[in-house]
Order: sequence, then C-alpha cells, then structure tokens
Amino acid sequence: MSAFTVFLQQLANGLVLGFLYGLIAIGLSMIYGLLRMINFAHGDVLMVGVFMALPVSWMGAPFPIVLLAGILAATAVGGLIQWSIYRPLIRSRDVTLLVASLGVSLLLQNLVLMLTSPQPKRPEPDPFLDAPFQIGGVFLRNVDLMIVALAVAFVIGTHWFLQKTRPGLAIRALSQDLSAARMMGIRVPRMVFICFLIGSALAGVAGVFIGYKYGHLTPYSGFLPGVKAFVAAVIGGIGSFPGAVVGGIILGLLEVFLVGYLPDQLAQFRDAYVFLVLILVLLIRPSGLFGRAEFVKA
Amino acid sequence: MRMARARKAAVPIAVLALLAALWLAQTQLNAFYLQVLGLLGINIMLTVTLNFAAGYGGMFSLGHPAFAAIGGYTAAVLTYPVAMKGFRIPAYPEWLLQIAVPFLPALLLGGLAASIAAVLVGWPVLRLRGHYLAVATLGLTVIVQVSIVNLVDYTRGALGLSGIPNYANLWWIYGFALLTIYVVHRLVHSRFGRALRAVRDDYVAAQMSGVNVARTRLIAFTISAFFAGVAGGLLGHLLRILTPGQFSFNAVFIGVAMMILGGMGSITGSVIGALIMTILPQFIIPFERGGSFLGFELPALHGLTQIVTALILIIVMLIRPEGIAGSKELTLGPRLRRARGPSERTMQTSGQTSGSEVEAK
Repeated sequence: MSAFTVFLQQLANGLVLGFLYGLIAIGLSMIYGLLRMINFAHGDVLMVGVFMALPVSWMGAPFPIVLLAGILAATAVGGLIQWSIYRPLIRSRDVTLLVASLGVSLLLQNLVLMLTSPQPKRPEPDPFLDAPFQIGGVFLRNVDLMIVALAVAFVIGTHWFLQKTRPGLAIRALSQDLSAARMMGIRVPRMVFICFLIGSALAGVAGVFIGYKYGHLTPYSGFLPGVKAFVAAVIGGIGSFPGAVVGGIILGLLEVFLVGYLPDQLAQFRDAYVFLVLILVLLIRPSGLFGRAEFVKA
Repeated sequence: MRMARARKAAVPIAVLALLAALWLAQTQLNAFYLQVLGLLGINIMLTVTLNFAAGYGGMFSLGHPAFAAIGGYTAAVLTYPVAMKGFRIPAYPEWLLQIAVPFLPALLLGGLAASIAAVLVGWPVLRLRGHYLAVATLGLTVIVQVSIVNLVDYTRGALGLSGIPNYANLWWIYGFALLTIYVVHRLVHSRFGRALRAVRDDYVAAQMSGVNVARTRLIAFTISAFFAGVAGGLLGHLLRILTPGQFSFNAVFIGVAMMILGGMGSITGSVIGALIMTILPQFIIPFERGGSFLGFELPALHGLTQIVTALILIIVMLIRPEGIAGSKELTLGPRLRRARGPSERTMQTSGQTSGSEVEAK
C-alpha cells in the first residue's frame, strides 16, 4: 500500500468515526446551549438504546428494524430521564443538573450491568453491512457507507427541523436568550423536552451503528464516547448545531490520524489525546469554530 | 472573627478525645477495621479538599482521583524499596532507583506533583465560565488512567504497583486529615476565601471589587489538588498497592457523592458524607456476591454499590440539593454561634443559592 493509500484509508476511517461523534455531539451541544448543562448521561442513553435493540437483532430482525428499535429505545429512555429527573431540576443551579446527570450515568451503567452480564455483546452480524468493498485502494465495509449516509440524512433532517419549523425556531430562540424567549411565550420545559428527544434519538442511531461496526458492547461502552462527543461539541463551538457536526468530524479525523501515524508506543494513548486536544482548544480558541465563548476575564 | 471562650476550651478537648480514640483504635482493632478507618480518614481528606475547590470555589472538578493517583504513584515510587525498584519499575533514571525517600517528603512531593498537574489543566480552563473544568478534569482522569496502564515500566501497568512499604498508620492519616480540615477552614475564612466565594457567587462583582478572578481560582484549585495528591500517597502506603482501577470513573462518582451528600460548602458535611460513603459499601458488598440472606435466595447483584451511589446522587439532587449539612458547619455551642455574628452566616447562605443560579440562565 502506498503512503497515499494509507492516508486515504485513515481519512475514510476518521470520517466514519467523526460522523458517529457528530451524531452524539448534536444532543449534547443543544442541551448545553439551552441549559448550560453538561449531560454526562448522554453516552449512557446511547448504550441503553443499543442494549435494548440487541434482543431485536438476536431474534433475526433485519438492520432497519434494529436501527428503529435502537432509536425508539434511546428516545424513550432519554425522554423518561428528562421528564422524571432533569425536569424538576430545570430551575436549579447548573451544578445540580451536572451532578444529577453523573448519577443517571452511573445508574444506567450499573442497571444494565446487573440486568445483563459483564460479557461484551454484539448484534447479530448482518451480511449486507459486513460486506467489504474497495474504492481506490481504500477498504471499507457497507456499514461505513451506511453510517455516513444516514448520519448526513439525520443531520439534514435535524437542520431542517431547527430552521423551518416553529418548535425549531423556538429552540433556536431559547439558545440565544432563554429569558427573553420565555417572555415571548415559548414554553421552555416543552422545548427542552423536545431537545432531549432529538438528542437521544440521534444518540440511538450512533449507538446501533457502533454496535454493528465495532461489535463489542459493554455497559461502559457509552460513557467515554459521550464525553468525547462533548469534546467534539467544544471544538465546534458549544451550542452550535453545525459546530457539533464539524467538531465531531474533526475529532474523529484527529483521533484516527494520531493513532495511525504515531509510533506504536504512543498510539496506545488514544483516549488521552482527545482530552489533550480539549485542553489545547480551551487554551487557544475556547469559543470553538462556530461558538461564542464566555470568559471569566476578558 | 472573635473567639468565644467555649471554643477555646472545646477545640483542645475535641482534639484530645480524637487522639485518645486513635490510640485506642491503633492498639486494639484488627487489620480489617484499621484499614476501613484508614480509608475513612483518606476519604475525609479527599472530600474536604474537593469541597474546597467545588463547594467554596465553584470549580467542579472530576479530576481529584487523577490528582490522588499522581500523588500516590509519585510517593510510592519515591519510598519504594531500593532492592525491588530495579526489576519492578526499571525505567526510572539510575539515581532515582538508588534512593528510598522517607515517608513525609515523599508525600509532600506527591502533593507537589499533583499541584503541577492542576496548574497545567487549570490554567487554560479556569479562565472560562461554565463547567468546562468538569470535562477537562474528567479528561485528566482519563489521561492519567491511560498513562498508568500503558507506562508499564514506570507503574507496573494494570498489574498494580504492589509492595509499597506500610508506612501510613492512623496517626499519619488522621494527622493529615486534620491538617487538611484546618487549612481549608482557615483559608475559607480568610481574605482569600472571601475572594474565592465572591468569585463563585458573582464573578463580575468580584472582579469589580478588585479580585483577580482567574488567579484566585487557580491558586485554590492548586491547593486543593495538593491535598488530593497527599491523600493518594497515604492511600498507597495504607493499602500497600496502587492500581489504575482505584482511580477510575468509579472513584470520580464516589468522590462527588461523598461531597454532595454532605453538602457543598460545608466541611462538617464532607466529613459526614465521607463517613456514610465509606461505611455503607461495607454492608452492601456482601449482597453483590449473592447467596442466601434471611432465608431469601439472592442472585449475585453486580454493581449494587454503584447503583446505591447513583441513587444517592440523584435523590439528593432531587430532594435536598444542598446536601445534609448545606453550607452550615457544626458549631460548638450557642455561644459560638452568637460570637460569629449573624452577618457572615446570612451572607454565606444567601450567596450559596442566588449567585450562580442567575448566572446560569
């Protein structure tokens, strides 16, 4: 393989991972934009979604049904958590929400651990998704194409929702100025709830794809991708919708290229690099690519 | 602050009672209870120092396990027996392999190493509003975790660094725990502490009053990390082994639970929180293995301790977000309460709720 083919291969892998991060980051970024809340449980909602879709897959359902099950499960869990735990706290200090989300994260991880088993699981392999193909020396599987195609579709769909519908307009207004929007008669709790549903659904999409692509799911599989996706949202500019997607892609590319081009001893530090990137971004450009930063000191 | 006479007598009496209790414990208890008591002291220290950053400083850190890990491994490498260093952790420079540092300087150097990490993370992040610090410090926990696992020749990786000398008895642990409480108490009630709380409650107003916001926060964060590092050193020399698992996400969750259960912004609360969260798991762990209890056959309930921790986090936030003690302290009798004066107390409680709530929206 020539150096250029290797580069192309890394580029393709990075893009696929980046779209997954982007899907997860959208929900995190929207919620932060509205509530200044870092939802540490977002990745765990993803995990619960895919774990509830697994039995559907084992019963022999085709991929679209499994995907739908994952989306529905994640949306239901995300909505339930928002309604029962975050909603009563919506007016409290942002630390309260942050701690509550830590609690939810720990709860989801260990409930799933208790109800299933610590052994890693995977969905029933789908022959179509696993079929490999090759363009210009780059080896991919259909699942990679599917990730990019569906991620683009869902991103466009969400973008359309935010730009063209009344609830979308309300959500954008809220993220610009919550109290002004409230005075204009926007129902804040309902809009926050809708944001959670959208974010959780997109996380569910990412979760099912992670299951099919990597096939090694444990109750802890969601937490770290969730936190990394927050880093992606910060890179893109937290609160910004295009920022979340672009940030996700940048983070995916960075991660894959760092691991691919660093010598083996350094490549093991994969997860560490993501957070070094976060610290660098916060140092150099805390507002990210598309966001507005809030400094303590000008 | 004017000292009441009651306080003057009460503090030495309390300290003497504690010393007597420690002496009794150290001589009478078996190894298991000594270890639980030791862990309690370390947890108190970790919670109080975390509370200093998060409760008084408004800097919600999820990186204190990482600071403890840095301090713990640093101290352990320094005190490690020279005879074993050569083949267990051979990657260090020759001069370091030849020396075994006494316990106290090793602990302090561990704390210093943790402080340096705190500056590196805190300097870029503490200038920003919002809880970027939470994510960045969680990142530090990941970075430290990954580093411990992969730097096998420095840390023995996932195997854990075993064979650390058994230096940390109850005297050391509770000595440092008391020192932490004393220092945090004095700092909180100093000019610096007032500046710190002012920054927490309203950074614009604090800045207008001439407080250097970023510097105040960074100094407090560094001090907090120092004590976390020392606590890590004590932990290593109590358990005689350090593994990456001791400083995982789980440690993050438990640390936060200890702090919020007791109350952010209360030293008394931190002690209570640490007490509950250290003792409670000892009763839950048997259930995790499963078996027969009171005639009921129970399956092995994996993760039960974590579920209880999680429920504590959620339920405290829903029902009593200020925790058991709120921002109040255990005071020594009504005389003292009067001596302290009403002004500071009202200031403290009102600031606790109003400032950051408004700022958040």
